[in-house]
Amino acid sequence: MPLPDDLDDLLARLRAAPPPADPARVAPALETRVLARIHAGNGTVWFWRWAGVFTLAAATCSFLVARSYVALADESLAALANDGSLVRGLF
Amino acid sequence: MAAGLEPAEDASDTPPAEPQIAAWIAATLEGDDAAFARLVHHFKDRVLRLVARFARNTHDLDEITQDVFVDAHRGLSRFRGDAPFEHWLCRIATRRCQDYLRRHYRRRWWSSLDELRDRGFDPAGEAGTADGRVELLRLALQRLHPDHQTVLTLLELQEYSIRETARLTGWSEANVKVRAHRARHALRAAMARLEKHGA
Repeated sequence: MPLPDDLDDLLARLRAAPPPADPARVAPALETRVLARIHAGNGTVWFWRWAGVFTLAAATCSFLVARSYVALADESLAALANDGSLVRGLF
Repeated sequence: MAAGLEPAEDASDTPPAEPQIAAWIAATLEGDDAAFARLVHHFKDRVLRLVARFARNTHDLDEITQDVFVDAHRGLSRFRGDAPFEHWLCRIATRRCQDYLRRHYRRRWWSSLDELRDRGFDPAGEAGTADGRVELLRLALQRLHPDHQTVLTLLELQEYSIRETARLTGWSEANVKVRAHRARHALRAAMARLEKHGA
């Protein structure tokens, strides 16, 4: 395969050529756009933080409610077993 | 928020002194947006010049540059000041550009040619001209492995030294030399393929 022997020359031309992206069009008001992104990002972070707090609180409440129901059921079963009605009910 | 955050017009284009930068950083960490706007204002040209070598269009250049400054804002508390702020910022910019190159590498075979045609380049008609060969070289460069693109862009287009390239990429100097050698070989081969078979 023939290799181009003028690679250095071509690279020098590419270095001197304007890049496809134009920095002059990006520079104006870049500060404003960056700060808007930072504040939007902070908003997202806070949203997920609060979402996490609410999820944790909801899970804790569900666990406590479920545990109290289990305790009630446990007491009821124990009472039934003590007076023999549970065994009579089963057979 | 936008109003009033534009940096003062008296801010010169010469790089500010490190104590001034340290003061802006401290103010930013205390929540002063205007101080960070001044940092962006003073370093945006430097970052834009570097990122423009990697970005394929103005929209991507804008996106990457914004990402660089957002990353810098997030990581500002980790800036220890043992190297100039500009070096630290350019390292972030280089990392962001490498991420960008990796994303584009997966679809390199068709996207590069489409971008060339969008800019009005006709591979069949212009490949023999000097400008056409420069565009072909740009296309060949875009088809290289992201690490090869990075090392050639920094060394050949930005004209950084081996040491500066190593500092920006986090590679050892020996590693930069090896990658540069392989990248040049890969670029020659890609260029020869494009000239022989067309884009």
